[in-house]
Amino acid sequence: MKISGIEVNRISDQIWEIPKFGGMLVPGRIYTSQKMLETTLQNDEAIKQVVNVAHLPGIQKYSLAMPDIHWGYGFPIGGVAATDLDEGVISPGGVGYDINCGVRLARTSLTQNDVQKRIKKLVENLFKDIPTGVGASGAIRKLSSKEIRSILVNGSQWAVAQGFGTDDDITKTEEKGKMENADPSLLSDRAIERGQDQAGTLGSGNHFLEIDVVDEIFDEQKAEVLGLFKNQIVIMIHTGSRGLGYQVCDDYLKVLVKAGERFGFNLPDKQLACAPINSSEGHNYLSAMRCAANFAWNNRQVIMHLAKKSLQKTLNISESELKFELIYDVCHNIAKIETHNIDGEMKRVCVHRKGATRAFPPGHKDIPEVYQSTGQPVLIPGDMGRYSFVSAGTEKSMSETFGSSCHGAGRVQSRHKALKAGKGKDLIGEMNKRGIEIQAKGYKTIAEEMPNAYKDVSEVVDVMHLAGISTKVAKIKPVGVIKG
Amino acid sequence: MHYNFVEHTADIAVDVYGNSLADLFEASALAWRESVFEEYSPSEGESYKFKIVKDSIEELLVEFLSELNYLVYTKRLTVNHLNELKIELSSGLYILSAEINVEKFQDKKHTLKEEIKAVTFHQMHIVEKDGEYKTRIVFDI
Repeated sequence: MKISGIEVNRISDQIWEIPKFGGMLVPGRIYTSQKMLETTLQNDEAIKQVVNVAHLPGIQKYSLAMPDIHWGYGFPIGGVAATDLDEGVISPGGVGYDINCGVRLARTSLTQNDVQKRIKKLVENLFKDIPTGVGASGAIRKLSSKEIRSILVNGSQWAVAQGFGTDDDITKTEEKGKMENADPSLLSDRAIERGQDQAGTLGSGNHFLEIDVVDEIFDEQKAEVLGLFKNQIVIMIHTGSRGLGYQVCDDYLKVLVKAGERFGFNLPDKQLACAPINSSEGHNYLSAMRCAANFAWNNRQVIMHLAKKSLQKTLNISESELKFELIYDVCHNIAKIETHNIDGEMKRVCVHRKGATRAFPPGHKDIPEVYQSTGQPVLIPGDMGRYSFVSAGTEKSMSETFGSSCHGAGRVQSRHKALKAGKGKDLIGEMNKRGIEIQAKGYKTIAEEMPNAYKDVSEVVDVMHLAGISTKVAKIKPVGVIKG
Repeated sequence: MHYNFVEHTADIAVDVYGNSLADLFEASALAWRESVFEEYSPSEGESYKFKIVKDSIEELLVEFLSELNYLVYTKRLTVNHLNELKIELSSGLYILSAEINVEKFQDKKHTLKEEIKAVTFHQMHIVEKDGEYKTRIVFDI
């Protein structure tokens, strides 16, 4: 069939292939359902972007897209591509502006009954204690340049060393919250300046902190290992590297546009700017990107600590009563050097995940000891009115998607249309009727982020579950939301 | 000069038009400001000058708007108006010289509505037809 003018062939109910044509070096593969393919992807540029990514020098096996695929810059959101370390390239367009945007899920000992009457107060205090909104700043004291540089090298290990968390948090963070070979001298002064007072801030747009309730358990055994039980209160945090990461991407896009010209790359989109991984430009971007990734992990670590203190204060309970513990922290905008099976040979490749979550299987050396039996937790936030999911990575994700799964719902309605639809309505009242307390900087954010503006995340998660890439463990539902 | 916002699912897209390159850049700055500020009451502030040199006109526009972004989100300055905006082409390089009027943010007077992460190259092609310049600009938010 033709989608957006491009030939797409069915491989299975969840896998759709774009055969090689023109300058494509590999075929494209989209994980999605026929329904989503024919509705959300029809007349969308995203499918063309899967084709564009297939032009990248050194790309291996397939240009992949997860079911939450939608229009991005260069790569589609939901795009995954692995490139050869010797002959391949690295592209900031395959990571995105919000480097290491990601999700963190923490559990508590509390049940919904324990806090039901205090949700409003909890949300009010979380909103006061965690800076949100456009250009939010000042979550912790203003940091010196030396301290910022230490965060860029040490990631969330910096926060834990300062008392904002525990060693257990580090163990349960992807990359232990710190990517090696991160050189802060490769960041512009402007990037550092832009991030200077943003450590521990949530920001705006689709970033959030939610109080959720475990609504349904799909896999009892895995849920038990993750410390999840029905009606339990958990906290989900979604944010990234803030202005610092945006600036790193912006700075290096310009450098890589020039590098691409120097190396004679002829790519279909300027936002696909790239450089050979083993060139100085490619090396420098990768190192600067790691600094921004470390900044983001530190950010989520600080926010988690602020949230814990806020919950303790509001509920007047001790740390040992609250048992606020990290389940896992994943990034969904990143490029990483990993080992994958390429046509029968184990090979080091650069995996770009742009709006895609790592989903490593049970027994993988890069996931924590405690999750060796379950596979890596995959955290997939939905919209603020319905639900989010916790899944777990599988062996199939390694053989098919370079160890990757989906990352969220994806918008279906423009912000403008969502604003128009919300005009004159009591949106806070609507959320309250759903049993959700909400605090945001303004009415505009609430209107833009209303559930109808997003795809139903369960459709996205089910595709990956049925394809065997990441299997469902639990569904959680929001009862309290703070937004920028 | 004029500009029209166009539908975009996740971000902000705007088509801008001008009778000269400088005019197009000024229209772009106005569209950017409308995207960024919720409340805005300009008054006379201080002069801020900058110069950008690039070898393509699209890069020059991205860099120009990125400079305004930097002033707002990092320096917490507003962009009141353009006192001067000059674009020259010399030895294959585009040179922009600008003098703008800026002032420190003041609560109630200035409220931000969006955080523009970056000005993208996506769908940006500056073309001239019958003396009118036009391009699309997409802001990642």
